[in-house]
Amino acid sequence: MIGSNTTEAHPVLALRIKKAVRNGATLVVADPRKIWLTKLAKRHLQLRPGTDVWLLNAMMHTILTEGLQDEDFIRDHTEDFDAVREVVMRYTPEEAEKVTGVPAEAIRATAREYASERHAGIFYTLGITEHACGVDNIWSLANLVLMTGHLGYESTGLNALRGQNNVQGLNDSGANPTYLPGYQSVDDPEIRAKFASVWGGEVPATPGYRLDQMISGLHDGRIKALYLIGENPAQTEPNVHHVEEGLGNLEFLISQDLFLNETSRDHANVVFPASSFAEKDGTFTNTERRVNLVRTAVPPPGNARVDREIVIAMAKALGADWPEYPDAESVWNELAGLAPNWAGITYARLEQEGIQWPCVDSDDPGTPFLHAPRPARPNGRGKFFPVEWQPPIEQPDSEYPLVLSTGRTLYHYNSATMTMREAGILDKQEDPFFEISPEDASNLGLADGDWARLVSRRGELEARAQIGDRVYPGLVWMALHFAQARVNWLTHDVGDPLIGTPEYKVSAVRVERVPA
Amino acid sequence: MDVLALTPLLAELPTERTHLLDNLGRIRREVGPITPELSDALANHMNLRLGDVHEVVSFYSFLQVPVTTYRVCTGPICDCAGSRKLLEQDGAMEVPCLGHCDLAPVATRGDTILPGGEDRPVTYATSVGPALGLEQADESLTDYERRGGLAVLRALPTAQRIVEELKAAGLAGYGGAGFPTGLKWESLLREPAPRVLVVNADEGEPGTIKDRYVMELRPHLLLEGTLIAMRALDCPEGYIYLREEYATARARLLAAIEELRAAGLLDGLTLDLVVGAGAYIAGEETGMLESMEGRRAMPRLKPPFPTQFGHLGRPTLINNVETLAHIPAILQNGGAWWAALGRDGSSGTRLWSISGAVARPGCYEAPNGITLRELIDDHAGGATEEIGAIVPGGAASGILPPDALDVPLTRDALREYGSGVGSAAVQVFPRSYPVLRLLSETMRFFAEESCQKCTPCRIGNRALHHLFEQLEHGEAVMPRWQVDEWLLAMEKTSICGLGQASPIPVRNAMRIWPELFAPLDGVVST
Amino acid sequence: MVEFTLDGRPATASEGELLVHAAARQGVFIPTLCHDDKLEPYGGCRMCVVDVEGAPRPMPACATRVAPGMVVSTNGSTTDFRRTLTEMLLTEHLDPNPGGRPNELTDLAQELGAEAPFILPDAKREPYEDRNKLMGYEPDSCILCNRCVRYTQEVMQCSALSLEGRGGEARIVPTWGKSWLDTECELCGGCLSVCPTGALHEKFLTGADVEESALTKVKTTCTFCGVGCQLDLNVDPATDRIVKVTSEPHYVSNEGNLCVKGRFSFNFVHHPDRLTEPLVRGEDGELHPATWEQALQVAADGIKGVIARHGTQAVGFLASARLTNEENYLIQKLARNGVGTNSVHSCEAT
Repeated sequence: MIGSNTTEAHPVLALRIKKAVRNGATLVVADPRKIWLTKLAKRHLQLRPGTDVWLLNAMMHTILTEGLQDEDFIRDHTEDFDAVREVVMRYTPEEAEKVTGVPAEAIRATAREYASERHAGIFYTLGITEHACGVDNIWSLANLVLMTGHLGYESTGLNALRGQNNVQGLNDSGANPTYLPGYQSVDDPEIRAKFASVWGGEVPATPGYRLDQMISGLHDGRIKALYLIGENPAQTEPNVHHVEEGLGNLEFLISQDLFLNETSRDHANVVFPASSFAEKDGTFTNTERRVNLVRTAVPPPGNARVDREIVIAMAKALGADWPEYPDAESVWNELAGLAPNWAGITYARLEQEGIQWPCVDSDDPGTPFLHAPRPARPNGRGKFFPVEWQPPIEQPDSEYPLVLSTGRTLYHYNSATMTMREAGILDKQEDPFFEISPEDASNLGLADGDWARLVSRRGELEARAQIGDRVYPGLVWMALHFAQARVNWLTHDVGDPLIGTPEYKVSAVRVERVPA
Repeated sequence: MDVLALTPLLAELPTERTHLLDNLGRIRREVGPITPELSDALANHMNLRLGDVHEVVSFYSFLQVPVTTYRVCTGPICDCAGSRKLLEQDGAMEVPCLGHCDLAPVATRGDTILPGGEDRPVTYATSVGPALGLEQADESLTDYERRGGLAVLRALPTAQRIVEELKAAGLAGYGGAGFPTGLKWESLLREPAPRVLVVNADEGEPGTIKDRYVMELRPHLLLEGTLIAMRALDCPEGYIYLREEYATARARLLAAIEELRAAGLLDGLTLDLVVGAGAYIAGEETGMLESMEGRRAMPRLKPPFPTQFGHLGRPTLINNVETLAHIPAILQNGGAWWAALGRDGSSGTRLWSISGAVARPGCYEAPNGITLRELIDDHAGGATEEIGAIVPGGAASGILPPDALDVPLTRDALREYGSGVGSAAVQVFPRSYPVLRLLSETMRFFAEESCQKCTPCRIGNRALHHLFEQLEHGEAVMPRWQVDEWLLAMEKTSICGLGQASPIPVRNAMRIWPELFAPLDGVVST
Repeated sequence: MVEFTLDGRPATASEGELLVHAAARQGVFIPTLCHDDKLEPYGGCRMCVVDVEGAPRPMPACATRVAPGMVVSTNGSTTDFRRTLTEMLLTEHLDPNPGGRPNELTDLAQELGAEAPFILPDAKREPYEDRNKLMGYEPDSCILCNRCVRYTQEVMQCSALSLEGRGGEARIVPTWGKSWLDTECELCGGCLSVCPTGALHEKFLTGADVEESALTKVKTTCTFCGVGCQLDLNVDPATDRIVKVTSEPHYVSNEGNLCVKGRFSFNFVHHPDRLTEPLVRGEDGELHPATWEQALQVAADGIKGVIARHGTQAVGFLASARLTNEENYLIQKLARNGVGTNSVHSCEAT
């Protein structure tokens, strides 16, 4: 488990991990924090935030030095292995210890255990991706997996645990500037033509903007109107003060949501009252690519409408010529008709239980292992990408001496517009808090539960100190759920150069006492 | 406060779960009664769930009370001897049989035994015994060797030969169940080595004092038997599970173990004392294993049996103290010699714990097959009052009427009375002590000591206690047919011997004293 | 495959299969109370004992694995034990219906015609009040099957509940009798999902008086994390409100398990803060209620105006991982086909 606080972010999936350990599996946790799972772990690799590439390269160093790699798999199912060998041989465990803080012997032992166990899987979450080097981290993990051939059968692979209910489906269904539904490139004229023929209108060829580009577009004037559906960038985006300034530059903003939120209250021109999951039909796709049905249980309140109907009404109002779409199923059928990997999935088939895509026709039972019998690339070979370590963008210094990392807790969900409205949950967690080590707290004269001020170059907030050994001295951690103390007032917005994912996991801050 | 006092100790406490009970005992002695804070601190130290430790702490009777608590035995013999008067003392705690029935009524404070509730010396009443020789105490290993001790251990026969001698002797376990020892050893030998030996020194069957006599008077004898078993059966690890209340035995064993260690007799072996914390059911062999592994002493489902899946899943032999103590004599003189010590078709001798209305209550080695009258008159100095009832073998054996005084105490002969020899704890009750009271107290004991896991034992024993309390007032809470059904369900569906055997004295009393149960026929069926 | 004999007929079981499961597949139902497929075999309540040829006494079907040649009888004298054991359990079952959940013990008692001959004098247990607002516990309904505690030990592996004491004083309590809010309890409610009598139950905000059987269950997919737990929204048809969330052991992905959010955080659906009317920002700078017609018109005009002034590339769409595949599909279609831009993305695309 690397960069995944599974028991809090994916509590039910964590039950499988717990069960596996109970049945004798070896668990190694790599995380800057002493998360719950470290209690069950054989070993906790408590690396410094942003040093994952060092850890992983040093593990590969060990594997290659000791000859533990799967030569057959490398030869038959991968390409560009030599490039990685050349790089990782420079990453010795001893040097890695200096950078990561993880003892060299622990790195070696983990590498040996991982390489020599046939059923060895890697699970990661946003601790890996929410870095300026997020893509590098994933490439490193992929290199490790390919090198050992741990791919394409049970209890192996490189498993991304999707944070939200339908992150997988959101990407699958084409809400992406570079891909049309089903990961079909918008650059491909044939693909565009296929969609155009079904949609009855040209698909634009001009590249679209990613989220981070849209946010910067707010400032440089490229973006003048935004249509937000279930999004609250004024809380969830990094460096929120900067985002709010940008939202002020908009000429027009539409928000479609369940509640008024930090963004719509101040900036929206129009707010559409939308529907919760309990009020609509449709599908969510979970982290294992399983398409599951969502069913209507109760009607939307008042004049709120199902999101599908609102978007269709907007299309009509904008003059688009769309079919009637009497129900969610009719939308699914159009999507499945355009995306070959979903072609075999129908609502009727989902009635009993979900199906894992790819599922190409009605006889296809779905695909539990994406990379079986060989890596799912057109040439059937997994590609090695050599990765050199890049330090995090912002380093602690004398003015901002602590590293701030952020994440989620068990009790709340993202901007917490839903969970903050559940009294029974507030009993467990209501006030904003941050985790700090006993050493740092004592240096600052903070007692457990004291209010303190966190300050970064971009903003400040107040939260209660939660003192404990979950973080090591020099590290503080805070969740993003608190509207009155938005941790993204503090985070910086320099993201991954390739895909723009923000570096929520490393910022420099200082902590100040708040006089009582 | 307590947690602060714990901090220095904590660093010394091992973190393996098998040390949980021991750690708790040390904290109780050195810091104080286990509070939730102490429990949680230990749990964190041992990386256990807080609830795991809570469950264990609350299972045993003594962990949450101070070491110095004044504990009063309310076992049937002490109850009959008026121990409830002692409970009037401030802070007195009621406990089941303390295993000092020869000194009834008895109380303890800390490690001190208080015969009659008073601070006076503990005495022993024994007779000359051919196999165990309890008539003379060994003060040291030298004493023991001078009497011929260690000869067998020093010239150990093969395992196969030992098993043959044990079979020839006809030695059967003296804990109460009477399983042939030779067969048990043989079945252990069929399992892969290394194996584990556990000595059951959790003597708790009401009326039973014999293992205490062995451990206090001849600890080396027990240890020689133990080491013979460990060496012969390839058990590098051995444990003696001793009840907490036996402080003298604990001290004597620890001293004797040190002597043996100094003499090099433990080389290559580990032999540890595990001290209980007040739970009768920990004497049940799988309950004992659970307790040793740091869990509530809740008996396991069987099969598998401990010889196959015992301590931490390893093949394990569990033998009673007295059983092991007989082995040096058997091997020294031969199984046939030992067998011939018995009478009326029975083999060998055993220790009879005699208590109640007799002149010299104590622990006497005498042949299997002896009669109650001989035991009482020839060994225990005769009855002191008119006898009303005799319990021959611990709480779960059937109660005998005075007309059974001349029946040989053998399994077969007692079957006729719906009774058995059990742990040979002969408790003699005067006519003034009502049989219903005896039954009610016995059922209260079982109800309180039930581990609670299975329905028939947890509820059945409480129901029977209720039933007898009401019968003492001439009232019945359920009809006879339903009592019969409940007894059958307890006997057949309980997990362990506790619930399976507690119906025995009830059934037997219903037959021998039918008049006491007449109200059952007046209840209209529901 | 293992062959054995069940009630005089030849039967088969898979290797190591529990008798209770093998029998169920042959259509022989053996009642259980302490058994739960999510948990390791326990064999405590003894309700499921059956006769096995050669065994000295009946064996618990929930904890006995089928062995080759085993001869099992489920319909002999052991059926009488079921009634007797049920009678026993009823002698301390003071509150059969504390919180609307189904009660397997009273169902069984009815089926077997079992009644308590008396109430045990020590049946009454100390009441337990917990200040948390999600889970309730009625000790007088507990039958000490220990399923809840075993769930915390084996599945959650947390310290929320303990089996305290022994004998007649044994009872189940939150660890050390603390409030769940002060234990490691994560309020996942797994314990109440395995409770056979409803001793552990949801504290409903509304609909507390409605029996579970009177609720409409709608199977759907959880709206929180990416695990995709399958759950049943239990709707009170009289009020059209969700009153609780349950799940079934055979549901894929979560096997009937849920977390605190999935099981308890559903009241946002009915929260008074929900938007119920479209809002349009007026000249005064404030948001005002509007009709759908008005709001759609203003929205469309606003977008068209920006397109007219700055072109289609000046319009961006942010979709959401909260929405369904179908909705996200329509949103990207709206961007590409309705407006003419590829700028559609979301904060969760990582």
